[in-house]
Amino acid sequence: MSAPLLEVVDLVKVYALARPGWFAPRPYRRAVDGVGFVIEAGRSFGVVGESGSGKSTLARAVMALERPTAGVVRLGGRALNDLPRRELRATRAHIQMIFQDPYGSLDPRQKIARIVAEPLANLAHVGRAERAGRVDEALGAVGLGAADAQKYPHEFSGGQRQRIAIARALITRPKLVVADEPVSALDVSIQAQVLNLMSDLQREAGVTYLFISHDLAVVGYICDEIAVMFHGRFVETGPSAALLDKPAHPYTRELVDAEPKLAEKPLPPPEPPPRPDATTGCPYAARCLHAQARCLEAAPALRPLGEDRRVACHFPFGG
Amino acid sequence: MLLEVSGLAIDLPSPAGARRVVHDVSFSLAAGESLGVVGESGSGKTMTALALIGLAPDGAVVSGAVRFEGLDLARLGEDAMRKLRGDRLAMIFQEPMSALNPLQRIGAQVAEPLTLHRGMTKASAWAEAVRLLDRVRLRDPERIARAYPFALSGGERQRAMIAMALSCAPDLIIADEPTTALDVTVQAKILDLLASLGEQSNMAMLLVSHDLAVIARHCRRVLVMYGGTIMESGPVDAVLRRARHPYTRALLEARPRPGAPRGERLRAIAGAAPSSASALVGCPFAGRCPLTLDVCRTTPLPTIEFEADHRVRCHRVDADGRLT
Amino acid sequence: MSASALETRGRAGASLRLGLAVVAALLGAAALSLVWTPYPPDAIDVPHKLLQPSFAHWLGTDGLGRDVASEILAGARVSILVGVIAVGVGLVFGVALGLVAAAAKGLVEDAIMKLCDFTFAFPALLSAIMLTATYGPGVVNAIVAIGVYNVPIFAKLTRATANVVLAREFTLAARAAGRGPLGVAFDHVLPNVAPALIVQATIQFATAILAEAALSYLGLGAQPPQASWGRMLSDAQGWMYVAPRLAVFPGLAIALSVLGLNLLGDGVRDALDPRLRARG
Repeated sequence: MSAPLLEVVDLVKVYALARPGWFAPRPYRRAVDGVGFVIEAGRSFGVVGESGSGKSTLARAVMALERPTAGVVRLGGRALNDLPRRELRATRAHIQMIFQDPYGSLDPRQKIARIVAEPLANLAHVGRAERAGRVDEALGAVGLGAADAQKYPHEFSGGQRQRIAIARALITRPKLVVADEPVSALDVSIQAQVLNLMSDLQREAGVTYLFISHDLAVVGYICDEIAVMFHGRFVETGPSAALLDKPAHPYTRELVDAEPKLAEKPLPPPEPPPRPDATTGCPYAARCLHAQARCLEAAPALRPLGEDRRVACHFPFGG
Repeated sequence: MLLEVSGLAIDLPSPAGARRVVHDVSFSLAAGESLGVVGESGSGKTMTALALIGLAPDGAVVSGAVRFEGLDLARLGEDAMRKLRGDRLAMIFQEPMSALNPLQRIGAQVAEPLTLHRGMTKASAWAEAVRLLDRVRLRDPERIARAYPFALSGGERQRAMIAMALSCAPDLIIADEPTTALDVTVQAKILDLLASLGEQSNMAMLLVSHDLAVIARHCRRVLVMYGGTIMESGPVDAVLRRARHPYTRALLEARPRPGAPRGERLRAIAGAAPSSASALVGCPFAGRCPLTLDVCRTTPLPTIEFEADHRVRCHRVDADGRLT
Repeated sequence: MSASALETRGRAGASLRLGLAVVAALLGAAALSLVWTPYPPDAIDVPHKLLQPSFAHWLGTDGLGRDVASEILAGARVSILVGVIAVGVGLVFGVALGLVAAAAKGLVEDAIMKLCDFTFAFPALLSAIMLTATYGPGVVNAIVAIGVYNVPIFAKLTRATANVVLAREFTLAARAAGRGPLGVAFDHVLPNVAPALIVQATIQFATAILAEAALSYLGLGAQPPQASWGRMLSDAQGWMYVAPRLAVFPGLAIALSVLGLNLLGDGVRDALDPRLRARG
């Protein structure tokens, strides 16, 4: 069995916040607090979490756009953190990113051809003639025409801009694409177009996705495996269908229940009893409907549950 | 009928002349009822909501009739509208951070409609504001009242906005994507809060959203808008279970189905929504609709009520709701 | 910005058109003065001093018999020169400092900003006076002085707008595409910061003209026989009761130039803004 394409081990990213007073201690925020996972080539791995969960920080750390405080990110067996700058730039050809905001991720003052060709600047052996051909190829793959290459971003709709972002991400034929909320800003009917495109491209080009989103339905559609993130940690991981169907962690269950569904009209979610903000114990305990004394004392570690699930809970469902 | 809108049309100025962004919208809302307006970008749903409360952008030309408690809001002058806003008619916006004044304490903002419309003193308005913040289930309402918006989370700010909207017990509350900017767990709580408050005080609610599932969960009736026109309307259950308009059906099918087999393609709608209805005569969905015929582009849309209160505007649907 | 911006209706378009017209006239006057003026601007002709405007002398003559119209044209040259060089100096050094501050952040950013604040603490005119007092009067020193106080203005503006641009996702995308900090700064930050800089530059140009006039008025800028609007104002003081028009003409020239540049700045800002606001 060959090495997995992406391996993340004990990743930690800590941000220093502003001191509240001159002599007060500096507070820190653990945006990513010990995250580890593995993605095999050709698969799709989803990370689901709400705002503040640390999922975007995780994406940037995997992309080596932020230096982790601790832990390792290995792409194809090589650790990205320690690479010297030149080699890191060369490696970027193999790992590209699709950003959330189709209106912000394209430079408004550049033409599409230049935007899409930018990652090619790293591949030294791509000559100018070949560059134009690759741009046309990438635009064609996302359903846009050669004429679009000479236009500016503001001439396109949100969905089209996201396609351009996908073309840019794919032009170096990367092995791994990190997609950070790629369809969240799009209308439902356009979301479907872009998701179809992403899954087609995966089938044709064998791209591996790390898909980050707050939308369970979308992640469930496109990913083989899902990790649920809360306060910088994975609280549950497992195959997507099983995880969404029978969540083991109370937070996963809360997410699944909160998702508005067309079929049923569920009861309003009950409010958990008010609890003082805890500094020890499980970070979810303050919101958890099933929390018990043990949950406030010790933080649970991510432990295997069954053969392909891991849960960080003292009292998981189905456990 | 609390609210009766007939033939509402909104034109916006543009470099190329007037652009019609809302075209012939008609609906009614009874006291205490909840109506959802669902549509994607460019559907005209937000513009419709703004026009009801008289907050359409400068230069917009609003035609048609909007009868609210017997008054025609479209004809009312700004002074009279201002008396109604915050008092009989209230609105909640999508982005609580930009809708709240960052330099004013929460309590003062919630109290403002009370001093304005009820003539309360500052002290008694403040006390009532704290009571309202408690009613929207905010923990420690006194602390929240004294705080500034930046100190609150998104969900807390939105609850504060709801408190402000409810302060004078309006008859109608218009909520424009009130939870789109919030996390899904917070979203559920806020919408349930709105629904229960509405029931308690017999307050009617117009909920605008792009998410059909949100509307399905919290509204009794729904309008589906596309390209500035109402495509289908009716009780939520009827529209969801027996959707007749090709656009409604496409919307329902475009969402990834939980439990669907991996690799199953989503039913996308090719093309993109029009940015305005402009000189449109026929159906705005023509061309993008898989069932388009010539008549769709040339003839104005009929309104077909094929079962009780369930209306569809489509050339391909007959009087019994069957596809022709 | 394109030709269509000039066709814009309303106040924005009018500002742009009017501003451009005035600035064009200013530049035209300066250019013209290089090849032709009705009379040599420094030709002293005392027997014909203080003449009223006439066909021979369109704006009359001054206290030493020099033709006022020629002096105004030649004065435009000095004003343009000072404006261009001083603003140019401010742009080159200020933008560089601002980009470095925004990219480096931390202590470097703080240090650069404090340096700018320090420079601001000295009123521009005072610094100009100190410089010219130390190194002697003359147009060159005036340019240096005015240029120096332009640097922190552009540095602060560049840093602030660069920070906004750097917070947007496309700069992150550029880094993800492997661009280094220099590449990001030149290819992405600078073009997006340029509109704000252009507008500020037109405003600073106007300020530079005023500053040059003030320095020349004080005798610290352009020295005779070099024509300068400020120097003309200074000379006119002596003749205030006899020929007040000698103050009006250079004053009007300064006022119109400043007005035109400000209108141009307004017009350019309005023309560039909607284009940058992404239309969905």
